[in-house]
Amino acid sequence: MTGGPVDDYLDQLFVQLRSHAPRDARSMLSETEDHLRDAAHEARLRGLSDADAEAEAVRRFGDARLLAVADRRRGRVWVARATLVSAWSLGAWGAVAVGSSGLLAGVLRLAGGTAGFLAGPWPRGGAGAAACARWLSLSPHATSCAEAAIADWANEVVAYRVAFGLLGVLALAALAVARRSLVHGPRWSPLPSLVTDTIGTAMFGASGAVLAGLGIDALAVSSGSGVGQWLSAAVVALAAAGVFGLRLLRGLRAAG
Amino acid sequence: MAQQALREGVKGHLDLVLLGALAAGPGHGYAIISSLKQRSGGALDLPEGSVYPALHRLEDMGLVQSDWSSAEGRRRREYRLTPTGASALRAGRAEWSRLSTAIDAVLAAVPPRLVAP
Repeated sequence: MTGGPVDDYLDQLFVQLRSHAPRDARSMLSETEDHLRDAAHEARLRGLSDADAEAEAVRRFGDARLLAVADRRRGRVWVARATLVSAWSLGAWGAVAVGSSGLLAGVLRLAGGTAGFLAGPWPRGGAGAAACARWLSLSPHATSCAEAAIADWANEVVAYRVAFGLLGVLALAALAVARRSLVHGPRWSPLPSLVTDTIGTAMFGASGAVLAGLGIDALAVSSGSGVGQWLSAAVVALAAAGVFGLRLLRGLRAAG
Repeated sequence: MAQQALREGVKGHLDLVLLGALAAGPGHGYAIISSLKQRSGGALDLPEGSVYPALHRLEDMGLVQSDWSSAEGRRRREYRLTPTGASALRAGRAEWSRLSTAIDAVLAAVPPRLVAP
């Protein structure tokens, strides 16, 4: 089969697009052919011969190699940037979830949960004298080193998680500022929501399952000592997985 | 020479120019390029192929959206401005306005003997 300049150009472009995603390559070829046929048609209407009209259309379109390179570079830059934004965003939401589990643990403690519900168990070998002295200084009303240590650990479960959650809120705020004012928001768009929702569902779902498993383990092995720290985190992680999962389902339905 | 300089100048603002062209309404690549040439009085005569990677980049950024449609037995990819693209166009236009005002102010101080052809 012999072709004119347009067919020759499309053959060249086909070769140049070999490293592109197949759908992108097909789309680019289809658009290019559409454009070249239109341009050649217009040139013919101006009185050019078929061959001259096609040659002019190809000349005006530009080098196939440069076109392929420009499109490939665009894809890489976008994927890198979108991955960074999505990873930052998911990480920040993860930190917020940790903070929420700290708040939940704090509420459970205020509602009458003992320190031993949130922390423990006390190690079989006990602890050194210096550590005991520090814990007892923090809990002067404690009647034993173990009681003082577990009270301190329970406070840490709440305080450290809430602090981490605040870092997550700051990270989300920083991302919002960057997207809105520093770098013209749309340039910092995340990966498609189906991708981030899938990752979010898997990440929080797996975390929730592991944390629930640790809680069950604490119930079975340690008579429930410290079970609250795992269950408070599992509840929040599974709730977050539910939110991402619902978004994913909605996205899948919309995509048909 | 002047045409080459103009082409180079436009390259840096191609995204804004394309968003501006799409503000008039949706269109496929060839129509967008024809509209650019027409509205610029032929001054914006870019290598036509360069417009497609730019349109794809704008789509990746969520500023334009494209759909394939069939008309007269041919499939065409039609681009349209998204709400985010409209916001970016407003921001880009304001930025361009500030830049051109600043450059005009500098050039206004050039002595007339250097301006006359």
